[in-house]
Amino acid sequence: MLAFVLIGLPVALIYLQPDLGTAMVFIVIGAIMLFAADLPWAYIIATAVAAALMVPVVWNNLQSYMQTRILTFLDPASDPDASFNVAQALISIGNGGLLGKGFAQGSQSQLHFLRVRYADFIFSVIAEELGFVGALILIVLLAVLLLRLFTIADQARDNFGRYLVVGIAAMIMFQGIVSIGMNLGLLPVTGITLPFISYGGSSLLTLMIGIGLAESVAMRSRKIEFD
Amino acid sequence: MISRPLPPSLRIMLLRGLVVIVAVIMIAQLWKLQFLQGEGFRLRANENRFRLVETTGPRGVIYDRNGQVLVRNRPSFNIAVIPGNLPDDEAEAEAVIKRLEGLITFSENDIPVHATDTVTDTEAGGPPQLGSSPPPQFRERLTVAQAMKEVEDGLQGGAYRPVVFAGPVSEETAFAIAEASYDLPGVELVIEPVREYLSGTLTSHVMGFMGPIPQEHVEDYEAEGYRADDQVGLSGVELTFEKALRGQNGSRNIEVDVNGREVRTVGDIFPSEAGDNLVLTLDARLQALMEDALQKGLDSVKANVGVAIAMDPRNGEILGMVSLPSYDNNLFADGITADEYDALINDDNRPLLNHAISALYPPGSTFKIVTASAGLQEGVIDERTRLGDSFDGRVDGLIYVDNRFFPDDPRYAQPFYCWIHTYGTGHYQVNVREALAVSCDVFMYQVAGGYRKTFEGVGIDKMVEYTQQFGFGDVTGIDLPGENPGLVPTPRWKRLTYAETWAAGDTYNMAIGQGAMLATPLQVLNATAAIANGGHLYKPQIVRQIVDVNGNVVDDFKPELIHDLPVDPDYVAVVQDGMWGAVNYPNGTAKALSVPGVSVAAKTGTAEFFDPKIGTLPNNRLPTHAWITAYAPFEDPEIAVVVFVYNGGEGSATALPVAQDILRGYFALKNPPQPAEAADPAADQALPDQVPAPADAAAPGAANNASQPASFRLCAAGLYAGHVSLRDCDGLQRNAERPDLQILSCPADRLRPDRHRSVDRDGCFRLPPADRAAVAAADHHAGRAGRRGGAGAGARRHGRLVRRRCRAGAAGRDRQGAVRPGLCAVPEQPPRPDAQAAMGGAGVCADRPAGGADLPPA
Repeated sequence: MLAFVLIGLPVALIYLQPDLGTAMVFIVIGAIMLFAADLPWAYIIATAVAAALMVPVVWNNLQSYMQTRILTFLDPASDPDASFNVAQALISIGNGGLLGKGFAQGSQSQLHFLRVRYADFIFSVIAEELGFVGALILIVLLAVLLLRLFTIADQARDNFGRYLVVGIAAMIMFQGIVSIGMNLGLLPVTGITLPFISYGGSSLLTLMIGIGLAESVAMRSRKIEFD
Repeated sequence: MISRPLPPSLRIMLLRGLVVIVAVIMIAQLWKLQFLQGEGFRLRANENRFRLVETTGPRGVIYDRNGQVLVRNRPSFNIAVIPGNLPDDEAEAEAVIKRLEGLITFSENDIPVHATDTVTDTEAGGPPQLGSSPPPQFRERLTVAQAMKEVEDGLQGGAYRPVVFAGPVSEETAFAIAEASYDLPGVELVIEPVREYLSGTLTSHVMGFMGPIPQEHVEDYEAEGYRADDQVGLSGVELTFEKALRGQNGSRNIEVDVNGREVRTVGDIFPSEAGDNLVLTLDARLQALMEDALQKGLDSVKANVGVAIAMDPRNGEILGMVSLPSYDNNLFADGITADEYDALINDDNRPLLNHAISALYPPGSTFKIVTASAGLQEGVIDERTRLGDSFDGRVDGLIYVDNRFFPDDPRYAQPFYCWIHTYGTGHYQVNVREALAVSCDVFMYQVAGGYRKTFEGVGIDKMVEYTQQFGFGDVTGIDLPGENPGLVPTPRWKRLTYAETWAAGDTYNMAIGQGAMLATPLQVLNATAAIANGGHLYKPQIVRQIVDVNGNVVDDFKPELIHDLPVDPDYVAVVQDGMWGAVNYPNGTAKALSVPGVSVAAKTGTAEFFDPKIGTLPNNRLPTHAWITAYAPFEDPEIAVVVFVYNGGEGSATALPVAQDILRGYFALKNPPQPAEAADPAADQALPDQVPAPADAAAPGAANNASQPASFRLCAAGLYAGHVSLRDCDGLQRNAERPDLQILSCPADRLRPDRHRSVDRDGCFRLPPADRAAVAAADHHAGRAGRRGGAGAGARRHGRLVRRRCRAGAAGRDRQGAVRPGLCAVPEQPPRPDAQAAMGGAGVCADRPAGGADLPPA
């Protein structure tokens, strides 16, 4: 229960900001950490059921733009202007082809059809300019990074290290999945950035600190070999 | 610190699996988007970035006959709002538009908002619109509220289609807005080409103006590939030559960014084509001169409406066409304000109307050339027939038409006056030449309508026929819109219109171009030109050439003959003589008309009219329009002029000085005051012209003199030999020694020498017209350009002369008498070259050597 409070406090504050995306990140990080901490399945199921029951309540309390985004995702035709960004993202990705338009040559991004192309829709830019190959490499790299982080977590000497690394991995994984999924039209549009790629110094700094912490855990787990 | 590693976690394995699965899903989606649906998205990406933009093909330029630019294109600035680019917040968007309005109001205070609305009211309630002047384009400006509404509408549909907020604005405003563009997101400056009429009011009636497509013709224009918001010619040659002038719009592929801003052009797919250029027959210099002259004429009698047209009678080319008052067609190019337009359409003088072709007036005495031609051709009169007012023994310029029902009771007879009746006299008995020269109404009454039972006239049916043959009652076909066919009254017309029977008096009125007869000034001019050129009625032309943008001639306008007058060239020549007489006889109505060094023929007109606004004059007479028609040079006419002044009084007093200014100006332009030998050196050699310039031929005229046909300067006694006294002929008798001439004395008793003497200042007799033709024929054989350019024509006219002389001789008057009151130098029989040569020298004055000796043998 303490865990819920620890997670709930920052989530509540961020939600009041209001920033649904980041609040979600915190919730997910917490959830995954709890999941990794061998929370009994019964609890997990119970929480999931509770969350499902909460949906109507939460929905009514969401900011209107958040509702719009979700509705738009579910039915793009309902608001052509709002789905403009998503459509342009898809067009950008489709425009890329196998090898892309070439670095800084994408018509969609260079002519500003893509909004927030330096942050939210950075993946579309990469897909357009570097093509399928570039986007594939990016996804694979992120996947490899995540797998490595989970390996570190697996090999951690203590639970603190393990959960710490799982949390970092969860953050990267959630941001990556949501950001890329949003670009690919698989998930609703949120303001979540693509880890390591999107513009934003503090985001990058946070991620680097996270990786540093993970490396630290890895280092300590290996130290035993010198003993 | 040593501790054993934790056992591998199942949960972490699950998370790993999640990562892999998600990565695979993403890659699959990526594959789907980029390969399976890639083609579609690439198309949409191209749609996004490329726009097919219409490029406007510039409209053709219009030149005068000398290549001076009269109309060209210049940029016009419109302020547009692009709804999609305005700030999303409505209040902010409104603020932008308010700022924009502030900027425009600041610099263009005078332009009313809602111009369009005001004017719709005026159009509904105002005076009737003229056919040739459809509603023009108004400067428009939306209010903020209207603009916001348009923006709202725009956001529903094409969010990036510009909404025109303010019509043409001044350059200053445009630049001010461009400067402030940072504060005005969504506001755009749209630059469109509009017409710039360099000659403005001077040529506005010929040029016309442009505006939006009239509502009722939108479909026709759209069928021709116009867009509904295109500008089209609405008047003048802008309308008649719309097809040629119109540029072909092209299109161009541009790459745009998300805001629709152009980034670059991607290939020029369909280049636009410039419209063809027009070369008009107008001479801008002459036009300017005509306007000045006419304005001066109008000012002299405080008249407001007048027309002056000049035409080349050899081919029907209009050299100048002025209709006053005029308007500035540049107003229409910029978008006219409601006030300006109101002022134009509410003006009683109707400045938008081209009075030269669209307004009808009684032609008055200028019409007598038709009556005279009809009389001669129908055999009612011959050139010697004398008619007049003295059948009743009184020379009072008055004849009576018997009452139809009481033909024998003079109390019911209706008097018909000659203009000279006012002066207490009449013209006595005149022949046709004199009748034209002195504008004798009585003569024309009788020619057309006969006189009692003693003389049978042409009759109304034939009169109508001839009138129509001279081009009255039908449009001339000039390439300008709004031409009025005029009205030739017929018995049938009178029956249908007034339910009255045609009376003899109606024929009388028609004879002098009065009554119901109505014509446009252009018709009057064209009929005169047909007399001037020997009987060919040409279609008046306003455009000489259509030239494409590369200078290739697309269309070259040839003279277009409507038909030849059904009048024998000999009779046409008689009418010409009459017009010559009007200028050159001492009592000719146009004798004040003189153009140094050029012989002029003219016909004045003073046409009565009734205008309810004017009513009758204090002396209980009707007001009159002043007319004159003239052409020059008489020998080889190259310019014919008509001048008309509405309510201008006497033609000879008001219109004549205008025509004189125009003719003088024309010849001064043609022969700039320079040494004149360049004109025709060959001619001077063939016929040395050593006649000193007459004293009255001042500076420019003196120079012109030498370039005029020598024939004019030749002195002889001829057709009107009897007009001159023995004393006047003294100087000529020496030439009578020429052995190859047969000298005839002329019947002097039938004429009044004192009134018809025609003597030049240098003591020489002016060569009467017909004889000059003979001399011209001789000139032709001497290598000069003969009159009407052919030996045949010269010979024919020569033959006529012979006939006439013989008739004169046959009159049995003192054929070879010792006393020779005049010299009729006539070759015996059909002209032989030597005889013509003799003619060339026939009338040579004592003070100059005979040219005949120099003529080469044929």
